[in-house]
Amino acid sequence: MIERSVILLVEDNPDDEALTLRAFSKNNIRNPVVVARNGAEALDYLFARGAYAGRDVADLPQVVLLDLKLPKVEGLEVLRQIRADERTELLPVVILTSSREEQDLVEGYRLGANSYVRKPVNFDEFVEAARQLGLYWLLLNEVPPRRPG
Amino acid sequence: MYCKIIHCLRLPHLRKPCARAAAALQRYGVAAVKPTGPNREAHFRALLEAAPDGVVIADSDGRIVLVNAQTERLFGYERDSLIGRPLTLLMPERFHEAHEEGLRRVAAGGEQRVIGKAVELVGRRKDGAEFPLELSLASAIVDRQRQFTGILRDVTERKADEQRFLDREARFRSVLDAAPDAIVIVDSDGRIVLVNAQTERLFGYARDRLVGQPVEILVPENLQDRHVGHRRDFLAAPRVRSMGEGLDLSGRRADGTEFPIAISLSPVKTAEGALTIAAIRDVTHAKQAEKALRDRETRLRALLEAAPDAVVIANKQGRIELVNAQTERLFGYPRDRLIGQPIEILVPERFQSRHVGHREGYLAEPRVRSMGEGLELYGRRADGSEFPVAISLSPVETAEGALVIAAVRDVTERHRIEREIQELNERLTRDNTELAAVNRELEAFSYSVSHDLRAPLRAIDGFSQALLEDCGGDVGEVGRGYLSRVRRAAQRMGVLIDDLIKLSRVTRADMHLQDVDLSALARRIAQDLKANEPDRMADFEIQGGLAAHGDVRLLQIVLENLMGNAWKFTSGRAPTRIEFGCCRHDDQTAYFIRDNGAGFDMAHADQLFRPFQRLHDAEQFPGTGIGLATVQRIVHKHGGRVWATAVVGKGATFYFTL
Repeated sequence: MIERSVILLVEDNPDDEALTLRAFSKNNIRNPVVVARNGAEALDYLFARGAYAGRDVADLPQVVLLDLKLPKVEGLEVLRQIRADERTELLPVVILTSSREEQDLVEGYRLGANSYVRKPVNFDEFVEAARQLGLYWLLLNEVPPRRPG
Repeated sequence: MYCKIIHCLRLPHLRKPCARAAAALQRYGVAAVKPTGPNREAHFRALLEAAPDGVVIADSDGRIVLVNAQTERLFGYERDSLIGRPLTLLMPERFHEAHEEGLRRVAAGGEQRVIGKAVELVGRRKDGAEFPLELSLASAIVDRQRQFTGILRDVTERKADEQRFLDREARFRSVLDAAPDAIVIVDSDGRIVLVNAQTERLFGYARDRLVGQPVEILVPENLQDRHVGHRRDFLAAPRVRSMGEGLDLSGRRADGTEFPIAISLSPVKTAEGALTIAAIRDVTHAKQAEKALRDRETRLRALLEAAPDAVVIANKQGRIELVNAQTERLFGYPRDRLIGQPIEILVPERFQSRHVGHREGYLAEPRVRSMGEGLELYGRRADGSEFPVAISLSPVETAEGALVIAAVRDVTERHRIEREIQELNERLTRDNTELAAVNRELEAFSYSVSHDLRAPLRAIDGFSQALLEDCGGDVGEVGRGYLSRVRRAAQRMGVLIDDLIKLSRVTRADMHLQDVDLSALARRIAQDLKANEPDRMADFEIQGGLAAHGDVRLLQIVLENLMGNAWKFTSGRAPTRIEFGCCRHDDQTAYFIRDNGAGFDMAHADQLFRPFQRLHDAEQFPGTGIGLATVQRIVHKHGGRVWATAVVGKGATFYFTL
C-alpha cells in the first residue's frame, strides 16, 4: 500500500468537519486528514510553528481545503501567506466554503486559489463534490516536485 | 466879355446848367451884389476868379477863350498857355476824336447831347495825370458866334467816396451771399427789400422775382394769412428772436414744396423805416437727425421698460436720472419720487453712508461690473422692507458727464432656491452616508446569511442522511419518512436563502448601462428552456429587433424570470405558447411576455411582486416567490415599471418598461 499524502482541512465548524470526513470516507478517500480549527493553526502546521514545531516543512500536504470564514486569521489571509512563502507558494489550495459572494470568489482566485467549491446544503450533493475533489486533487493532479530540504 | 458870361448865365435856357455855378457864386455871397455900371466887368471878373469850380469858355471851334484861376489850378496850366488853345488840351487823347465829332455835330446844328447836362468826364493835367471831372456845359450864340461855357469840378474825392460806397456795398453783398442762411430783409409793409444768394438757392426763386413781393411768398399757402398777423404783431413789439425759438416752421419753395426751417428775426430802424432782417435756415437734415434720434430714444426706452431688471441711471452726484418700469415695481416707488433723488433712497439705511463711499470709489475707477459679482447686496423698498439683489454696473460717458447704469435684479427667489438646493444637497449627503452604512450592513448581513445560515442547514441535512444511513433500521419506516421531511425542509430553506441572496444582490448591483439586444437574449433563454424539457410541445414567438438601454446581466435576469415563469405556468398546456414583444403604453415602449398558462386571479395582482408571495400551490408549481420581486427591483433600478394582466386558466401577460 502506497503512502497517502495528507489532506489539510481548515474548518472551524465541527459539524462541517464531521460531514466532510464522512463524505471522504463514503468516497473511499483514505488519506490522513489534518484538521486546523482556525487560520493561525493552519499556518502553524504549514510552517512548522507552535504546536507543530519540529515538523518537516518540506513535507507538504497533497491539498489544502480552506474555509474562508475562520476565527483568528481568516481564510483569504491564510491563502495570501501560503502564496507569499516560497516553500508553500505552489501548494494546491481549494477554497471550500458556504459563501457564494462574488467578492470572495474573485479575491480567492486573485490570491491564487486553485479551485473554489461551494459547500451545498444537500448532503448528497456534498458527497458528490467530495468525490470529485478527491478524484481530481488526490489522484489525477500531479503535485509539484518536492523541494530539496 | 464877362458880361457875356453873365448874360448867358441869365439866359433862361441856360439857367439849369448854370444853376450850379450861380449857386456856387451865391454861396460866396456874390449873388447879392447887383452888377451894374463900369465896375461890372471887374466885378464879374472877381466873381469868376473866386468861383470854386473851373470855368472855361470856348468858341465854336473849341478853342479856349477864357479860363478862371480855378481852371489853372485844376489843370496845372498858366492861363496864357490855355487861351487860344483847343479844348482837347484838357482831355486825354483817347477822347479827342469823340470831342471833335461832338463839336462838328453841334456846329452842323445837330443834337446837342451834352448841352445842359452835368456829365462826368476825364480831365488831363499839364503833367499828363488824369482826373475825374464833372462838366456842366452851356452853349450860347454871342455876337453871332457860338460859344460854349463849361463849369468843371474835380470829382476825384466824390468818385473815391462813391467807390468806397460801392465797395462797401459789394462787400456787404458778398458777406450776405456768403452767409450760410437765407437772409431776407423785409420792410414794414412786409415786402421783400433784399435777399441773398442763399435765399435764391433755398427757395428756388431768382432774386428779382422776390424783391418787392410780400414776404408771404415764402410761406406755405395755408399759413400765409396767419403769417400776416404774426408779422404785424412782431412789428408792433419788435425784438430780436433767435434761431430755433419758434416751433416747427416751414418754408415754401417756388415749386410749391415745403421744407422745415428755423428763423431768426432782427428789427432794424433805418431812414427808410423799420426793416426786419430774417435769417432762414433749412433744418431738413437737423429735423431728420432729430427724428432719428427720437426714434432711437423711443426704441431704447421701450427696451429699457421691457427689461426684466430694474434699470437705474444715476449721475456723477449719485442722483437718479432715469428709472424703468421694473424699478417702480421692484422698489414700490412711482418714477417721479425717484428722479433727482440720491441713489441711496434704494439702499437699506444701515448701508447708506457706506454706499456713498462705494459710489465715489466706483466713479474714481469706473469699470463694468457684472451681475452677482461682489458680496450679498440688499435693496430697500418704499415701505422700508429689504430684499436681496444682484447688481451690475456700467459707466457711460455722456456730453452731460459720467453716468452709471445699474441693473438691479431681485434675487430673493434665487437665494431661496440656492438655500433649498444647499439643504437638499446636505440632506442628500446625509442620506448617502446613511445609505452607504445601510448598504455595508446589508452586505455584511447577506454575507452572514449566505455563510452562517447555510452551515446549520447543511448539518441538519447531512446528519439526517447519516442517521438514515447508519441507523435507518432503528427508526423504522415512519422514522425514515420523518428524516426525509427534515432533509427536504432543510434543502428548501437552502434554496430560499439562495434566492434571498440573489434578490439582495440585484438591489446592490452596480448598473452598467449599454445597448441590449432583448430579442437575442429572449431567443437564447427559450432555447435553454426547450433543451431542459425537449419533449414539451412549445411555441415561442419572439419579436425581432427589440433593443433597450440597460444593464445586460440584470435584464437577462428579468427575461429569465418572466420566461421561466411562463414556461413553468404553461407546463400543463399543449401546445405551450409564449410570446415576447412590445407595445406602446402611456407614450412609452412596454415589453411584454404572454403565455397561455394557468394565469391568476387579478384580485391578487397586487401581491405578485412581493418577495415570498405565491399565488399557486407549491405542489403544482414549485418556487420560492422571489422571482417577480427580483424582476420588479431590476425594472425599478432602470426607472421603469412592471405589471401584469391575467385570466385564470387562460394565461398571463407581464409588461415592463425601462
